[in-house]
Amino acid sequence: MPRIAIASGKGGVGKSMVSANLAAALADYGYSVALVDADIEGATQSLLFGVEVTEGTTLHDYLAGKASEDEVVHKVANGISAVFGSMQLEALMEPLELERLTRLTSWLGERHEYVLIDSPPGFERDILATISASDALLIVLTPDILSVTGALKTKKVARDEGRAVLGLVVNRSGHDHDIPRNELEALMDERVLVTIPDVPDVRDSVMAGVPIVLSLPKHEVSKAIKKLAKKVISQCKSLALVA
Amino acid sequence: MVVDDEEDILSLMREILTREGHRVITASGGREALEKLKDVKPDLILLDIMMPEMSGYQVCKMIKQNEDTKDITVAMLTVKSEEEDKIRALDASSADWYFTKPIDVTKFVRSVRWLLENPPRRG
Repeated sequence: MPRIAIASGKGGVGKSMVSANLAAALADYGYSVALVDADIEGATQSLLFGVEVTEGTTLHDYLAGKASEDEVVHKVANGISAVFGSMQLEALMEPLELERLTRLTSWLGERHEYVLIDSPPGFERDILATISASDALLIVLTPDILSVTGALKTKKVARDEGRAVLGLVVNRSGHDHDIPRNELEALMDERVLVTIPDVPDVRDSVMAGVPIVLSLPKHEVSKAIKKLAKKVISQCKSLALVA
Repeated sequence: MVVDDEEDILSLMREILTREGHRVITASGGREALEKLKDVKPDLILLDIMMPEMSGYQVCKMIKQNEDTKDITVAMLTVKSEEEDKIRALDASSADWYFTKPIDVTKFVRSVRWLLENPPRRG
């Protein structure tokens, strides 16, 4: 039932990778999961799951009022219900009713135990629509000050909209000048739920079109994502977002 | 260098940082800080946001726009949980870091040490 937006202030921090793998990990624990690729201008989830999406069955078609909920939900690996964005440039030219995103996530929330929303980066209309369509946020960032600045903006938008922040996911860690975890927590005034190392295997899994949690379940990245899944479950419980 | 218009904060900071082995210079306002920066190049500037005459944002901007001082790490002192201040500090005035007041001494000392060893790089 809880609808969780996976957000970041800055693009390129690995938000989509975290979303896809978190969906796979939650599904692995036996939960029914829906994943919405709401990164309107940079949809990539279909690539992460190795799925080719046909015209008329994308989130863009739904937001343009051309398709129903049933028509845009695709069953993918681990029984995840995924709504993919269109990767066609023309789809972006269509007038989209972003308000319909809330209707879609509510519809999915009535049918699934967790709804994950892969949000767009930045602070335009798209991210506001995503936050409105969610109950809580997970903020993904990399351990550098520019990423912290973006993450702070996302936190502010979340707070202004009255949404809870479940915590921080630190991605691409393990470099010399990384801001340490305790400094990140002090800067953001939020808890770091998990730290994910920067390893080439993640890029390989993207190329292969299978989330790393499924292709290499014992990999350190997969272990980190599974730990994140457990923490998300317990955070949702403590915030009374789930029974 | 610590820049704050409150005498108490200056002496507290001086005491904490000196005890940790840092050499500390202070300034009670933006103008005084900019004047002193013509002669000294500190490794780190701790800059209060709320100061009369010139705000910390203005002072930071001038430090970051000056060729001679732009590479000095600047950390702003903001009031806890005001995201807008933190964002404005990092974004508009190009500060490198911020600390929230009231200061947690143990964490502050640890962070200063880390900042001096790992000056943040932008871009």
